[in-house]
Amino acid sequence: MSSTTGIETVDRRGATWGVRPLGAWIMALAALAGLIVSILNYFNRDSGIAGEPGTILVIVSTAILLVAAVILARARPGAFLRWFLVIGCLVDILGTGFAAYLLESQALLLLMLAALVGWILHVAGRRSR
Amino acid sequence: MQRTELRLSRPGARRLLTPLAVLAALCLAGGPAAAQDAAKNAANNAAPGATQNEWSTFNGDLKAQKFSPLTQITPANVKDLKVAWKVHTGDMSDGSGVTPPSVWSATPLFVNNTVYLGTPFYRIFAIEPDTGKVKWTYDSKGELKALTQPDLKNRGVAYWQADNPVAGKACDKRIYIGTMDAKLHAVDADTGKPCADFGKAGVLDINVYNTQNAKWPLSLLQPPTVFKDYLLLGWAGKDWDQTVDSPGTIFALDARTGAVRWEFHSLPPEVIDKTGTANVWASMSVDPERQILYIPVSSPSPNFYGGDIPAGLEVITSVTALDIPTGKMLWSRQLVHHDIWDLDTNAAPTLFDLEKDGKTIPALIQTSKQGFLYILDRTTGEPIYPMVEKPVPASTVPGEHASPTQPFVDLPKPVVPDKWPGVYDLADWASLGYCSRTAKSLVDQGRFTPPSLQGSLVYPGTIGGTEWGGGALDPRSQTFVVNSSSAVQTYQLMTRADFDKAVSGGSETGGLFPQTGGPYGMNLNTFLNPIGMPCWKPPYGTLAAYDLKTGAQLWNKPFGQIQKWGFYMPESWGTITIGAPVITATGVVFIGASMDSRVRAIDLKTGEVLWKALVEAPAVAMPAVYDYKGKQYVVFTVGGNSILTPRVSDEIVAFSLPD
Repeated sequence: MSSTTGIETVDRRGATWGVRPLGAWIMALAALAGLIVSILNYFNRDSGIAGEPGTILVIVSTAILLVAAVILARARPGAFLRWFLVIGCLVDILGTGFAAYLLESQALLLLMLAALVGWILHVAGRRSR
Repeated sequence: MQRTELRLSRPGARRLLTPLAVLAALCLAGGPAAAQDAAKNAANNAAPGATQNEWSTFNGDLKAQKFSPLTQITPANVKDLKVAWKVHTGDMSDGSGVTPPSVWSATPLFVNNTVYLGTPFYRIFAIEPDTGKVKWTYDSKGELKALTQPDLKNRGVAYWQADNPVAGKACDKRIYIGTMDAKLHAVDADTGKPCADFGKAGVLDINVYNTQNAKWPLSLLQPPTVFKDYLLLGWAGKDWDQTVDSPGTIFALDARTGAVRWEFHSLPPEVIDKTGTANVWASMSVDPERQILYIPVSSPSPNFYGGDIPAGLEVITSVTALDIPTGKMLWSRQLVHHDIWDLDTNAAPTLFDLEKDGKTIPALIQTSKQGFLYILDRTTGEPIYPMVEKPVPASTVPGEHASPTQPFVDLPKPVVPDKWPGVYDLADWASLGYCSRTAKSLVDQGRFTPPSLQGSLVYPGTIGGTEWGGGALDPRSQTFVVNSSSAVQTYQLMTRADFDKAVSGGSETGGLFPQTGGPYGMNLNTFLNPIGMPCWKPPYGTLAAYDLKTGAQLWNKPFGQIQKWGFYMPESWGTITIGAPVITATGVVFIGASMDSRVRAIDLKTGEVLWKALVEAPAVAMPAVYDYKGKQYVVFTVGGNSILTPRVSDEIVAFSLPD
């Protein structure tokens, strides 16, 4: 079990969670914004990538990132799942960022940079334990 | 100063002062001589009744120079261009329903204080030039079926006016549009109402003249060329389908009534039971002073096998000059002998007066699918820069008698090299060696490698070199700008038995074309790997500039970006290009043409991209440049082309500088 003290969460092993959920929430917010941007791009005929399979790809990848980041922020998964999600988020962020670069979606690229900052905070938070 | 003068509200005064203001601006910008040259050039080349601030014909002018004397948009301020207006016509199809996909290559016209456009659904739009408000539309009710082309296509409309048009008198000014089902419609330019004295109630059925080997209608996708009271009309057919087709004709029609004044036949009567087409499906150019029509003549049917085509047909795959009053051929210069590659001459030659070695020579420059730039004396057809007959590979196909030589041009440098670029490692790796394996299995003997039963690697292929838009010329500096494509295709003839087996066996038929009536069918494909990557090295398309006085290539840069599944590939790859540039007097080149749904402004001096904007689909029509009420506009038709990408649109977008 864990207890919440406003700015800091401590799990049963005494780990410090202050930075980790912040990083995960940054990832989640960036993913949510990226999802919205990508959906708009898909339907906006002036976006240059409307209706394209690549746009669908980043819609899916940002949605997955959103779910994974929320799980990391809110739940207490076991070690294997936690690491799977952490590594998966990194792959998702880098892949989506590369796709955003090729799609020339600068907003999505910036959001993936923000997500990467969140991921680093999340991992750094683990290591500060 | 210029804007103040041009904002005079009285139309008559505006029409008078606009050219004067342009002239004044040119005097300030480029000196009196340049200004006078540009103004004189524009005045000489414009359609009857047009002024130099207009874009009154498909190519901007009768000489197909695609040059605008306007000066408001410059290399310095072009980055500030903004959308002035947009119109969506609603006339588009992605082919997912019963309507074939649309291809929209219509150059907008600006004349009679109106922007006119034809759509792929064969409707005319008349649009206010400064607001984009639709004045009127006309629906030809043309059949929306793939009667000859796989896509619904339109390259725009044509404008004619009487010598002294009377204001308010119906049909003293007319707009013409053709349809795939061979109907030519004439409507009043002010109201869009049909002109009752033209054909039958405003509609002329050209197919009544389709009396020999008729298997499909004479599709009118390219608007007629208008000179004086002549409508000069070619047509498009259905390629690669039949061995014996309708023989190529040019019609000179009376602009008022549609009556045929003369016909020109590109094939002699004694051969029309063996072949067909050699038609003129692209635009044409006119020397107004000499009253000469220049026609780009295409290849004969069935396009990839010539065993049944008699030797000595001099007009096929040529540029040919006709006397407009009589229709008599003045000269013809064949560009490919015994064409078995479908290397149609596919664009209007650009006419200009070449300043060379202290002489002024009436010249033309003809672009081509084969990538050569032919510069000829336009009064005689003789080459100004050498055309050299060189030996080319013989055909191994039983029955074929390929020409032993073909004309080559080394100067100006061809827009594509003589040899294909070779296998691209990335495409080869991505396909586990498919590209290199396939290349080794193909016959490759360089330029003019004939189609073979084994399969030939053909470079440039039928979609290569320069497409139907041709190039643009700055007549003052004699700088010619042209876009091109580096495309590798595979041509494999199949015996009739093998072809029938392949079709009946349910194989992929996308690359199979029957050439019915002859001994061979055809399997033609662009050389892609299984995941759709070009197997050859980039760049896939370039934009180049030439000094025609010397033939020197000034610059040559990859143009556009490939976009696949939405992903943009590196700029250094360029793209296959369809469309054409235009040049303005300030040295700005405007062009769409790329796969990446962008329109661009290029610096004429350096080839650098000065500005680009995203539009809804590839803008495969050449843009129009005009001045209205003191403001310069650049208008792009955005429709797409299935050769580049499935993306289609129905957008017309005009750009101008902010107030």
